Amino acid sequence: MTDTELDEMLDRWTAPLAPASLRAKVKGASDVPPQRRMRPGVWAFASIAAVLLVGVQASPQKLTFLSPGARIPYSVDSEFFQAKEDGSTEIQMDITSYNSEGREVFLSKSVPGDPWGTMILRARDFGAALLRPIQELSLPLVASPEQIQKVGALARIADCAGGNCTGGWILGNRTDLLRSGCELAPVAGHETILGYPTVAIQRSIAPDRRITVWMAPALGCFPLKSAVEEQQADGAFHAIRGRRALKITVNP
Amino acid sequence: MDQASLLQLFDEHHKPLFRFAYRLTGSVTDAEDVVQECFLELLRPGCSYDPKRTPPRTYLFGIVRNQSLKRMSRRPDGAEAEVEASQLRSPESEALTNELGDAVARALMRLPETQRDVLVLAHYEQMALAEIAAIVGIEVTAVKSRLQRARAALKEMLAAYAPELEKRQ
Repeated sequence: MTDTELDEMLDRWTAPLAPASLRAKVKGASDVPPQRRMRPGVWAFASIAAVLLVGVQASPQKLTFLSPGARIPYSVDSEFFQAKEDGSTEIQMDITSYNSEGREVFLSKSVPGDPWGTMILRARDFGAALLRPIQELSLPLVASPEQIQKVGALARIADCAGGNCTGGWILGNRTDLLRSGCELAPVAGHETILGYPTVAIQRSIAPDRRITVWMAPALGCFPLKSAVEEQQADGAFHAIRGRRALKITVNP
Repeated sequence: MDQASLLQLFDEHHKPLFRFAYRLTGSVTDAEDVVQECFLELLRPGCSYDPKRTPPRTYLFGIVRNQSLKRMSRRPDGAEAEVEASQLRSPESEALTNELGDAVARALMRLPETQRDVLVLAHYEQMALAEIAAIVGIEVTAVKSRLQRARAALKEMLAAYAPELEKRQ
C-alpha cells in the first residue's frame, strides 16, 4: 500500500460535528465560579481524606494489615521504571512484595523522592483494602461462578510503572505456571538474578510491543525482572518500562 | 480569564478539539466531556496557561490529549475502545462508504496511544511536526519516528481493505 492510498483510506473516517449544545454547556458551567462549584464536595472529600489519613498512619506501611498472621516466606524489594526518550530511566515506584500461590502480595509501596505521592498511594491502597470485602461479596451479583473462577485462575504480573499498580499482564494459567516451574511456553531464556535461577517467558501484547518476564521457580514464580519493549523503526526492540528486583530477604 | 474570553477561545478552537478528542476516545460522549473539561480548566484557580509562553491552540490540544488519555486509561484492562458506529442512521450507500471508515477507526484504536495521538494530529489536523512535539511533550525526531511506526502499522492492518478502496474509486 502506498502512502497516498493510506492517506485516502484514513480520510474515510470522518469525525462527527461537535454538538451545538456544547457551547451552552461550557457557558453554563463557567457561569458558576469554580470555587463555589467545588464546595458541595469539599466536606465529603475532607471526611474521606481524614479517615484514609488516620488509616494510613495507623497501618505502618504494611498492606497485609488486614490479614494478620500470614506467614511471609521471603520479600523482594523491586523498583518499577519507565524509560525516557533520551534512553535514561525514571524510577516511578519502589515496592516490597512476595508471591503467595502465584499471586503477588504487596507489603509496601512508595514513590521515590515524593512523600506526598507516597502518602496518596498508601491512602488509596488503604481505601481499596477496606472496600475489598464488599467487592468480594458483591462479585457473585455481577459475574457467574465460572467467570469468577476463570479470572481467579489467571497468572498476572503487576505493572506499577506510571505510578499506579494495575492488574498488569496476563501470562497464562496460574496452576500451569506453578506446576511447570514457571516454564510456560515459549521460554525466551534463563538467567540468574540475585542468586536465584529464573525462567524468562515472552508474550506479544500489541502489534509492536512485547513483554518479557524473568520468574524464579524457587520463589513461587516471583517476577524478579520484567521489560515491556516497543519495536523501533529499524525493527529492534527497546525497553519502555519494566521492573527489577534489588534485594531478596528470606524469612523477613 | 473572564467568561467572554473563554467563549471566544471556545468559538475559535472547539471544532478541531472535538474532532481530536473523538478520534482519541472513539466516543462522542467522551469527546464532549473532554472538550468541556478542557475549557473549564482555563477557569481553575492556579491554571498554568500563559498565552505569552504557549499559543492557545497548542495549550488546548495538550489538555484535550491528556484528558482523553486519562479517560482511556480508566477503561477496564484490555478493553478495546469501541468506536461509536456512525452508519446506523445512514442510507445504504453511505453505510457502504462508512464500512471502510469504521475499519480505519478500529485500526486507529488498535494503535498504541503514543502513536495514535501523533498520527491524528499530523494527518487529520495537518499540524506541523514541531507543534505536535510541543503538544505531546517530546522531541521532533521522536514525533517523526512515532508517525512512521503508526503509518507502517496502519498499512499492515488495513492492507485487506486496499482492493475495496480501488473498487470504489
